[in-house]
Amino acid sequence: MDGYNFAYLDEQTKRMIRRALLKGVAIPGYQVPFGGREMPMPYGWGTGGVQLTASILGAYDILKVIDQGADDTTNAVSIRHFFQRVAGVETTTATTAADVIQTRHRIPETPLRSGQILVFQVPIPEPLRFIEPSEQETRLMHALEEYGVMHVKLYEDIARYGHIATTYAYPVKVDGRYVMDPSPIPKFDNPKLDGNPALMLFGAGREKRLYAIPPYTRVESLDFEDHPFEVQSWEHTCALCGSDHSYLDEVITDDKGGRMFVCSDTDYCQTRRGEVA
Amino acid sequence: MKKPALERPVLLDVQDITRLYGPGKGCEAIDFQLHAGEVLGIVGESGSGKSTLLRVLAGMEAPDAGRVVYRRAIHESEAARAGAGEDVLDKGELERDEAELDLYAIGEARRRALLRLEWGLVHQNPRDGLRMGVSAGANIGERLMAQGQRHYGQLRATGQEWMRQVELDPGRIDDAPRTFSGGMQQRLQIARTLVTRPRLVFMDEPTGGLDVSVQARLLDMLRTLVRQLGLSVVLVTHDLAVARLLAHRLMVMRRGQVVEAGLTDQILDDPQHAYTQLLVSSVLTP
Repeated sequence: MDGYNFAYLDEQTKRMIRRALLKGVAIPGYQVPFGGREMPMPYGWGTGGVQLTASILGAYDILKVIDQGADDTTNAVSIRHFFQRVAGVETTTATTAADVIQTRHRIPETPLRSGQILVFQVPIPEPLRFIEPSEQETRLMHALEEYGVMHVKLYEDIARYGHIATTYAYPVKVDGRYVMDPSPIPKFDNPKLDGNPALMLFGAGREKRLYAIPPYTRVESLDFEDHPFEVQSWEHTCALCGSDHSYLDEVITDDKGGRMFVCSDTDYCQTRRGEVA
Repeated sequence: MKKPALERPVLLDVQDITRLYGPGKGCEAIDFQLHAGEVLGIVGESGSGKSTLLRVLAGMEAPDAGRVVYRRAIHESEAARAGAGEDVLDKGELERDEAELDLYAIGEARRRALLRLEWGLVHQNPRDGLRMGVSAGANIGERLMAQGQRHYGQLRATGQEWMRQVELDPGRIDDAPRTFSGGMQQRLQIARTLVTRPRLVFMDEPTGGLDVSVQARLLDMLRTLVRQLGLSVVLVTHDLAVARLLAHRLMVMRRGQVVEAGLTDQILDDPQHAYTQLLVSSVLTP
């Protein structure tokens, strides 16, 4: 597209973000501040993820964008179109074919491979924020590894609901050091963070923070000895592909109580149906 | 029969502390020693610098001059306590055999570890010391979780045990502190502070804002706990009755300086300094 630099951002901005990304990769889980730019979309629509993607995208990379696992929802479609127009890169919906995957709220069911990059859109990067409103204080707590309060929240969950009721944005400890908010992915996806061969980058546009999990990094979900970390499970299987091991969305089909459970990862579901058929 | 040790070891050595916000505002050239197992009361009118002094002692505000030295050599009784399963001292950040810590010379990481592991602070307003958004049990358990305890069942059992200790109904462990009365919140704050068995506790007007009968019960409880746990306490209060009940020794402050110091009974019954005489004589007796 004329009048715009490749992938919208100017090269100086990309360099600045790449430099911050290198720092993020060097210190897994550490929130690196960066000079976030105004993007042609509102905060909350993935401006953090878009800036990261724009900075790492090459002319021959193949891009996939998902929102809640789906390739065809508004957020995914608009961001995919954005990069088609400003970078002219090839896009795909196939997880295996993509080099860069920008995601909101899910990690694809298909295992990622080495060389792929997963970019997360993050609303609130600070896992300690709910209990400590001061940024100065939370930075100090990270620096001194004072993470006792994270368990206060989990304790409170068990005291109120009898089990750990946090189901998304479930806090993790990266490489035995930094406690990190994995963005609002369901805790179902937390085990996929651990030792993943792909590079995972997290960008928060409004808060102007980015962080990273390098490939094959140890990522543990916080828990109690007598209340270990568990992922969700369903009694149903996917109504379309019959999967009994993927993350399911409940879809209401009429106003008489009709409902169906389907895979939230549309690409995975379609691939399986192709195989079954 | 074993004779009691008359010279108790010095726990806190305060050397020439000065922290001034302006001439006569703050505290100036304060010098004292706190011995293990001792309760030291600091009394004085509002604005006499007693809270400033407490903030400096408790590691919350660096002094303009002077040192606060904490001598943490393991003594016999404390070694026995540590042996009884209450070993909270091995936390990496604090070396076990380090005998002397200069509060403002050590790094912030170690200062905070010290505050978290071996010291405690009871605020005048329980809202400052409690997390109002989470349940009583989570409040009591927080310091334990910060020390790395990760067993929900044990945390809960400890929480209930401490609620009993401070005369709260253990059945209310899941209630939020805001549903508690002022006196109960103060008890909860005390439980939350003492749960890690600190050696040294700072208290800022622990009974302020409570009515007289609640105050009396709280004082009674505090006195019992201090004796049972062998705590050393620095107690700031403007209430001479509270000081008489709890403190072994008193320091009287005025305009940032200590005007008189000595045994509690001696000071209250036979005040020497004109200001102390004024203070003692202005207590209302019904």
